[in-house]
Amino acid sequence: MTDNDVLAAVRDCLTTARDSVAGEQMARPVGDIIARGRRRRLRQGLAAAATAAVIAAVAVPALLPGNGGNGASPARLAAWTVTTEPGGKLTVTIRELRDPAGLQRRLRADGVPATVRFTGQTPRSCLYYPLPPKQSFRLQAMIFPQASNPSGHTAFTINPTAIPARIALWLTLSSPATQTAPDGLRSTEFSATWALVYASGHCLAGKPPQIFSGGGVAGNSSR
Amino acid sequence: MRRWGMTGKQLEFTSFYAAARGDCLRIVLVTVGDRQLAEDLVAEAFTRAWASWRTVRRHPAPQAWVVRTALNLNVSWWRHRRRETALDGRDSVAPGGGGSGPDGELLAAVRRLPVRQQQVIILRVFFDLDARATAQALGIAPGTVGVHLHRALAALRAQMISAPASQEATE
Repeated sequence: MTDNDVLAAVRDCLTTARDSVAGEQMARPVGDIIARGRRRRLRQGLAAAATAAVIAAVAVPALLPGNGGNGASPARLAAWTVTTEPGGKLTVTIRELRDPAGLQRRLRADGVPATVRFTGQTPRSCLYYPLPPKQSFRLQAMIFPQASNPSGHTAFTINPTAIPARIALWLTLSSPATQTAPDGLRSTEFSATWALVYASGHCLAGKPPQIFSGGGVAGNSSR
Repeated sequence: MRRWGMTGKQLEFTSFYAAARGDCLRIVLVTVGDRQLAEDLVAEAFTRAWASWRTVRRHPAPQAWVVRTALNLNVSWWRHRRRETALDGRDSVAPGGGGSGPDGELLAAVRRLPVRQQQVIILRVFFDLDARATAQALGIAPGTVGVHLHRALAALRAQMISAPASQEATE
């Protein structure tokens, strides 16, 4: 009895068995399947979202000329600066939300696989890197060892050597909100958030569209 | 502003589900022999297919993907339940034709095969996948598919030879 003979017998047997249950149908409506899948993705997305942390929301006084500025023209500072600290850590200081592409280029040149966008630009070309919350926070604490507001700016430190090979950073800088204090001093508030994403070519190259596992917001980024 | 393919994605999955669910259920039912278990497995497999639809839709045989996933889940659930509770007969061969007569013996033998061998047989018989496509569906090398198929057929051949002999002995 050759393999083909056995296979033919098995085929007959299995197709007969399948035909004998031809009346069986799935009772589950597709809506249940989709809803269940969405709930699952939402749970995964929440875990991913837990990897995003607000670094800072600070008031940045005196950068914009205000009524209390005595009419003096403020010094024009760079929108952001990246300085290399001893040991290879980078300190990123954000003063204005300008030129995210330049910041992205600079960070990548300094060995940080980062994608930088302004508010509302969801990482559609990135996939959140799924990590248990505890592990994620531990890793974030290593990658971003410091976040502070020196001299009213938002600043945070990135440790490139703490970034695992498969992980990249997604940095979002929020739109500024300008406020005027009672003394007339105008200030700008903004914040930066980060997420850990796959260091895929898609993410780093920013090629849309790539869906990301962001739970309820998964796949809905568009412009 | 348009959400990326959400409507199209749902429609696509819905039509896939409508077209494939019956076949998938029946194939899994024949393989595991338990109606409720088969439905649970297939529903879970479709849920995973939906969650990974971007990948599954590009699969050369999405229906085979669902069946393979369901059969893998069967092993996982069986192991889980074995650790937790008595099996209340779930590991025993049940409906779908198993149990009596030569066909029943052969079907029971298919159900007793190791999961990989069983999957190779199922994909070959029901989806007509060749070694390469089967390898792709299972995520293993084509050569490994050949080995599993050979071993499965050897085990089934032994069953086919021994079954008539035992029947004759009892007559």
